[in-house]
Amino acid sequence: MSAVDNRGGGSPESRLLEVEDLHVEFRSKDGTANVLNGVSYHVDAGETLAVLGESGSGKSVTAQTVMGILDTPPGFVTGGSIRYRGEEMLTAGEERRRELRGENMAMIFQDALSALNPVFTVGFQIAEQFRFRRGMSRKDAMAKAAEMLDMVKIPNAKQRVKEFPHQFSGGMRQRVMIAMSLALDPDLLIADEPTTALDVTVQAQIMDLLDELRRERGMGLILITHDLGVVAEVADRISVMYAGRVVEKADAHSLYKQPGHPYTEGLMESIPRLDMKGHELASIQGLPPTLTNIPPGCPFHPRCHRAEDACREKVPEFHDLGLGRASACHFAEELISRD
Amino acid sequence: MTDTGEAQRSIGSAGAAAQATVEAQDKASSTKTEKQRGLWGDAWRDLRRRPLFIVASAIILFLLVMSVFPGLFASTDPNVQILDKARDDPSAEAWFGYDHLGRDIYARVVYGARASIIVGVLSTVLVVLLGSVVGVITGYAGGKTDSFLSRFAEIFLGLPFVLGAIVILSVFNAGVAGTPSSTRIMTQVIVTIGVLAWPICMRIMRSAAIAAKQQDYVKAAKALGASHSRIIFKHVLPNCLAPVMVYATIALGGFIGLEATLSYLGLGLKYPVVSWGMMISVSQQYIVSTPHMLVFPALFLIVTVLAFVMLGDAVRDALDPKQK
Repeated sequence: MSAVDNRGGGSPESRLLEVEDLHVEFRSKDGTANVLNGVSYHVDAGETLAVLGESGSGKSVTAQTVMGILDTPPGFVTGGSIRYRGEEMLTAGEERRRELRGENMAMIFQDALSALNPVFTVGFQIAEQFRFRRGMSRKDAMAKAAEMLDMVKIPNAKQRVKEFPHQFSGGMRQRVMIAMSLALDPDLLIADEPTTALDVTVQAQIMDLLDELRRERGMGLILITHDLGVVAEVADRISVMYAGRVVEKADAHSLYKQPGHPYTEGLMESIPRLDMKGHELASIQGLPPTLTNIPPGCPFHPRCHRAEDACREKVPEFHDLGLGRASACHFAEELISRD
Repeated sequence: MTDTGEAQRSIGSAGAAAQATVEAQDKASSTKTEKQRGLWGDAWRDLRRRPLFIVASAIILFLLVMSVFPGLFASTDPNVQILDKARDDPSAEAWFGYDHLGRDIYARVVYGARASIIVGVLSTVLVVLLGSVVGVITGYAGGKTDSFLSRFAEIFLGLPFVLGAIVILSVFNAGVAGTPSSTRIMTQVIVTIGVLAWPICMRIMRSAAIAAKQQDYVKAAKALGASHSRIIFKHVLPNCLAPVMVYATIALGGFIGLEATLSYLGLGLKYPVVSWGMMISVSQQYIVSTPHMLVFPALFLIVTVLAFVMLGDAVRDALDPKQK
């Protein structure tokens, strides 16, 4: 499974982040939900990995586990490995992980309003990091905070550092969030649905900003989203997740050209298209499985239009499709060699 | 997240945005060289402009001066009894009249401020400190710590207040001969109220901390490498202040009343200490014949409580940036 991917240039040692066979379960009184069932992906410096999937597919849980901010309980890591620059994270002490957070890896959230503390000015919140992690004075830290706001293209940054989060518009707030996470210059940024709460025109601006910052700083970006439109423009590689597994991975171009998994295909078909105006919008039938009760065999088979007996019994292996592509479908080869 | 939540938020932010531009303009003109203040600095700047705060602090300041220097306000001794003037009505000579033992009620009200305010303020401070510390710990830590401390608090919560106070105060004073000193009695009353009332504040703080802990900004702070202590002091506590502040201002009045209850039962403050609570409890036998015995101390009590409630309200609003 791990030998499949050789895109992105790096050898396993030089990889910025490598997640391998990660298992996480949520334990509750009503039973155990298998939220992650062997997630593997990696990201190199300077590249964008998009993680695609429906709600509940485990995208955010993977991200939070990587950051080490998963709430325990209910979440428990039961297996796998997370390596940051070759250093194992799951066995590293809490102290070491905290050191890395902010400084080396950072995360931005979907809803920037709730991710910013309402009782402090945005400048204060950004400056805090310079004060506590860099030992700067209040005054210098505020000046740096204003610089950060300027970097994320917030107009009139010097005045706006003194304002509170609720005084910013949605897009500006997300910029503040980005400025805050990039304050200590991390080389890995995880963006958890950064544009979902924003309107379309603002979405594009935020994506452009993230892309630009990634290029300038050469950082690795993990972009978690369910918006295929967003992905197409900025992602180098894509991992598609379903029911706590990566079901397909490929570079952005070939994935869009020819999906190698029926689930990816379904996602692509559900993008509204102008030339199909008047037709009914295609959707994937059914709902994602309950994670306390994942169906045997391929977890996608109850919703899959090409499911056969094999799919109901056997969990599909990852099929290496060459050029860094792989798909967890019994018919993967067939799918990509169509037409 | 629901659609209604989104809608409300956008309405809120539209209003705030309009306000923000106005604010930004006056800030830009007046405060170019102003240095950045923290939460309390901002609150203070805001408070100075609130009439509610100014009125409340003026009243409280007045009461404080009165309790520290009662001699400035009343020239008569509050414990001198002139029996042939007993229960006389208010007159030019004694503004608030005389009580059943012929003591000047005005002087007693002035001298009573000290005991009432000390007991009210200090027991509130004790309750809020004790309750908040335990509440934040239980709310933030959760799990076994929470279960243990919550059960522990429920022991105190389960005790009926008066019964608990009788037990505590009589145990404290069991071996004491004669009349204990007034400082000693006051300390005992304050500690008793503190011990019996902290679980209420702890519960309020705990639920606020649980709510704050689940907010994204706590997760975001963690993702930026904040330590537990910084998360507690910068993210959880400031967002839990409002409910505790409301409780504290309400409790303050209640505690002054509690002191009266204890005094009435002979467990609280005793002669020669004068307190409003004692005056009110004595007056109940004379309500019909001598209403001024009740009216004046009660009036002072009400004004004091009202002033603290107003102060609490103003501070709470000032700490909430969305109210600006």
